[in-house]
Order: sequence, then structure tokens, then C-alpha cells
Amino acid sequence: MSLPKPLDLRSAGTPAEEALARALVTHTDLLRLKTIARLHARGLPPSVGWSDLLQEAIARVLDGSRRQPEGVPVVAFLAGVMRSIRAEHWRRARRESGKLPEMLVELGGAAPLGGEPLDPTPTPERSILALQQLAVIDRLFADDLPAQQVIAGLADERSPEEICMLYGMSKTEYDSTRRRIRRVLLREGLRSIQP
Amino acid sequence: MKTLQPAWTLERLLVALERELIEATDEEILAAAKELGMDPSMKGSAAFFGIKYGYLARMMNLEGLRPWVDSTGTLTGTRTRRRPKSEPPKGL
Repeated sequence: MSLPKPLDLRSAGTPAEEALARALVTHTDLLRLKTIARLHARGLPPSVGWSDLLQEAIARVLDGSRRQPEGVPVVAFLAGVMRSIRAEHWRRARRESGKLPEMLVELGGAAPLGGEPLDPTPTPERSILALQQLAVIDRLFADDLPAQQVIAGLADERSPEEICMLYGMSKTEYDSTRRRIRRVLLREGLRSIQP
Repeated sequence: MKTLQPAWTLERLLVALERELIEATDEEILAAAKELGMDPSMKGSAAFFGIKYGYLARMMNLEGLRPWVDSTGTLTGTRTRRRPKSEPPKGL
């Protein structure tokens, strides 16, 4: 594998533009990544914006500090890097809070859906921000019970078949509910005003 | 949903929703942009705000914020010390 070119930001406006210029991503990928970045910025302090998360993830790939494994689509990989940056933020916050015994760090936590290990002791700040964001997400789907059910099922790592069986949904209802969920998330992630 | 710490519940939820967005088709993305009155094919489209422009040139690292570029304009990754509130800004 060849080494990545040095990132020269005099010619590139932002890491995202540089990624576009290097054909690492398409315009639509960037929009998809924007919606994912906005999602992952939820529950982070206001000082860390979604744009920081996105540009930092792309910059880490461009400067070679994160390597995309073969066979992993770029959007999924960058989403993972954003998740990792988010986890770094909370690990740092926890270290700074100085409340966690090293033993708990070593014990670790179960990884949610192949993601970063769960922080065994979320700080009070993190718990409050999480509660706020859970309420915001709840409100997004307040009028859509099937969407709430599908989201709960997905978050519990249930298969589509299990979700359909649990909530008495047909496969068609399940698929159309997921389309509605994506539509809401995309609108929320692309809109101009910060949440 | 299983009873978990709110932070863990949020993490699981975000990962699940992230998967939905990864699977969203280009057509779904463009349709959502259109519903918001955005035309991503136009130069300067609001859809790219925070992506191509409107982004404050800075990056995060574990120690806080680092400048994007050094004096030559090249990505550095240099960690900088945050100025304590008691210390006046440089140039004053």
C-alpha cells in the first residue's frame, strides 16, 4: 500500500474538499457523512461540533494516521473514525475527571454493535447530555410508533425478523418504516440550522 | 429497550441510526436535500455548509484543539497549550 500524500491545506480548503479532490469520497458521500457526523455530535459538549468531528476524521485518514482496511467502504470507515474520536473525547473527559479507578478501565465494557467499548463509568456531564439527546431523538419520532419500535429493536441489536415478530409488523411495513426513519434522519442531518 | 445508563443507551442508538444512514441511497439523500430546498449540484449549496466551507479551521486531538496548519500551510498536528484565562493573549 502506498503512503498517503502529505496534506497541504494551502491548496485544499478543508480536509473534506481534499478527500473529494483525491476521489476518496463523492459529493453524496460527504452529505451522508455530514448526517452521520451530526448524529455522532449528539451528546458531545457544544465545544465539539459535528464539523470538527467530520473534518478531523477525514484529516486522520488523509494524513495516514488512520488506514482504511481493504473491503471496508469509505463511509462506514469514516463513520467508525468519528465514533472513535467521540470515544476518545469521553475517555479524556473521564481521565480528567479523575474519578475512575484503573481497574474499571481494564475491565472494559461490552462493545455496542461492533463499535467502541462502552465507557464503564460515564461522567455526570455525559449522562446529562445523553439524556437530553435521547429526548431529542424521541421527539423526532414522537408521532411514529412503528419507527420508535424499529429503532428500539435495532438499538437492542435485534434482527429484522425479530423486530417484525416482536411488534407484529410485515416485512413491507418494516422496510417502509426504515425508509421513514432514514428520511427523518437525513432531513435532520442536512438542515442548515444547528440542532 | 433494555435498561442501561443513558450514555450507553445513546451510544447503542447512535450506532443503530448510523447504520441506517450508511445504508441510505444517493437518491434518498438528494431527495432529503431537495425537501429542504437545497440543490447539492449548485456551487455554494447550503448542503455543503460545514463540509466545504463555513468550517472554522481547527482540529481536535486528545489534548484539546490543535491548529490545522503550520506557518507553511501544511498539516502539523502540533499540540498547543491552551492559554489560561489569567494570561493575556499574545500581542497585547
